[in-house]
Amino acid sequence: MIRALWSAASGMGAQQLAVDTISNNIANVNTPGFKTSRVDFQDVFYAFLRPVDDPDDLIQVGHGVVPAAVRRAMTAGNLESTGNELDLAVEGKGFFRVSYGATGLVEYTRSGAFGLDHSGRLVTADGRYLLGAGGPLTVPSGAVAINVGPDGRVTARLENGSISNIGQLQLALFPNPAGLEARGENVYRATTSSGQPAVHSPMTGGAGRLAQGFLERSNVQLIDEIVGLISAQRAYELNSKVVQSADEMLGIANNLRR
Amino acid sequence: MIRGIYTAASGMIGEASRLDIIANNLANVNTPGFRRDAALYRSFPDLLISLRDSSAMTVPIGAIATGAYLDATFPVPASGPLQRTGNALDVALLGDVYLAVDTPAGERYTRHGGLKLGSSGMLVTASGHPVLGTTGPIQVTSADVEIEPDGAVMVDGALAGRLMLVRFDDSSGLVKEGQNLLAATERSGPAVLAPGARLEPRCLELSNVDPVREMVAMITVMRAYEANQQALRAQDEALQRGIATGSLG
Repeated sequence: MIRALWSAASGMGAQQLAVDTISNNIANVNTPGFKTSRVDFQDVFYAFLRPVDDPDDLIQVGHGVVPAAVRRAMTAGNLESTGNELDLAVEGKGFFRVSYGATGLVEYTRSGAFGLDHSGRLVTADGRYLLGAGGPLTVPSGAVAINVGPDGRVTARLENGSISNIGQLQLALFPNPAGLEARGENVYRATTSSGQPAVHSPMTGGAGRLAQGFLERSNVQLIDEIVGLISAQRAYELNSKVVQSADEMLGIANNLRR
Repeated sequence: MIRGIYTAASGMIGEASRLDIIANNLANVNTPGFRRDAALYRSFPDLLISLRDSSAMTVPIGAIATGAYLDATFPVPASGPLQRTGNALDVALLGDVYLAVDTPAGERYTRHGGLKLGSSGMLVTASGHPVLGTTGPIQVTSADVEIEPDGAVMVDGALAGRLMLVRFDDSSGLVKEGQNLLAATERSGPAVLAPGARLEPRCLELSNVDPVREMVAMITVMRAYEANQQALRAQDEALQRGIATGSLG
């Protein structure tokens, strides 16, 4: 009986986490490069009760549920045409490499909404430099247009019509991208679970090709999230009913003696 | 009379453990691959009641049983509904087959097909145990993984391993160990390879717990518990009256 109370409480806690995860997914439905997450549950420890007559029979009573993992689905989001020459999307599994400063810790992102800083370097919305083969990519001051090829070659057309080579963009590939650590601000860090990145130029080594003027939308599927939300909310409600029943039954037991 | 108090108490105890089982089923209503537990109750053995009078003759009155107890629980092997997740590492097992898992305690089995990659690129379960292929754990070296309906794991289009799918003579004899793991017992028999088994890629099998069934069971439990309490109380009151008047019956 007391087991029932705690099992139901564990169910409520688990569904709460599911609602938390789903609400974060829905909140980020319009965040470029965002990847949806899902909570995986598992049952917990089972107690064995010995049957009176036949010790070979099984009586197992479980103790509820715990979250096993929060998993990120690294499927591609839809590409949206923005027409902005500094919006880049990866058609493939590669990640952009970004860092604060030329020698800072390298982080990874799928969000390709870049801009320029005061000295012409390509930066993310929060000021991290976009890294090419030779560090940050700097656009010369007289540039009128920037071109990023599907192979990651970044060039600028100057006022006088000449083409200036800015650098070569590179993408990182992970053996297990779902194991990356999300750091907020659309960036990820490598972990032992994700494995070490292999750096490739676009269109080599399976890194995918770049699409200039496109942004990768989040891969959140609203219908799936809403169905998940309904399911989690109802499961929460069900477990609360069990708490109520267990409570009432304890009350009945307490009322044996008036 | 006193016997009846224990009979009613055994009913209350039995219903309370049934609620424990329902609570665990409902807590796992969203746990993929979870199999609901069913409980079996049994009546205490019958006693023969006889009339003894002064003539020293015993006249049988009839049989009486004095309560019920929880006799066995077993996982119900019905399949749960499939959810299409689109995740390349999700598999739903079709039919009564299981994935083999390597754990520190030995080989275990699971229905939870939400696989992922471990730290060294090994294919593991949601709880982090390596999934066994027919030739041992499966190593995934690239992000391009596909699991075929026959259990073949393709990495970059090449065969990296084949999921080991097993079945049991009596799968209701499997013991649950938590973390979605099941262990073989003497009753279930050893795991046997299931060569023709199929799975549905990019799908998850959800829990086979049916909320309606569990809610109805919970109402039944509540009311049975209440009825037993009333029975106990009625006897308590009758006893009290008997004590007050100095005569029983």
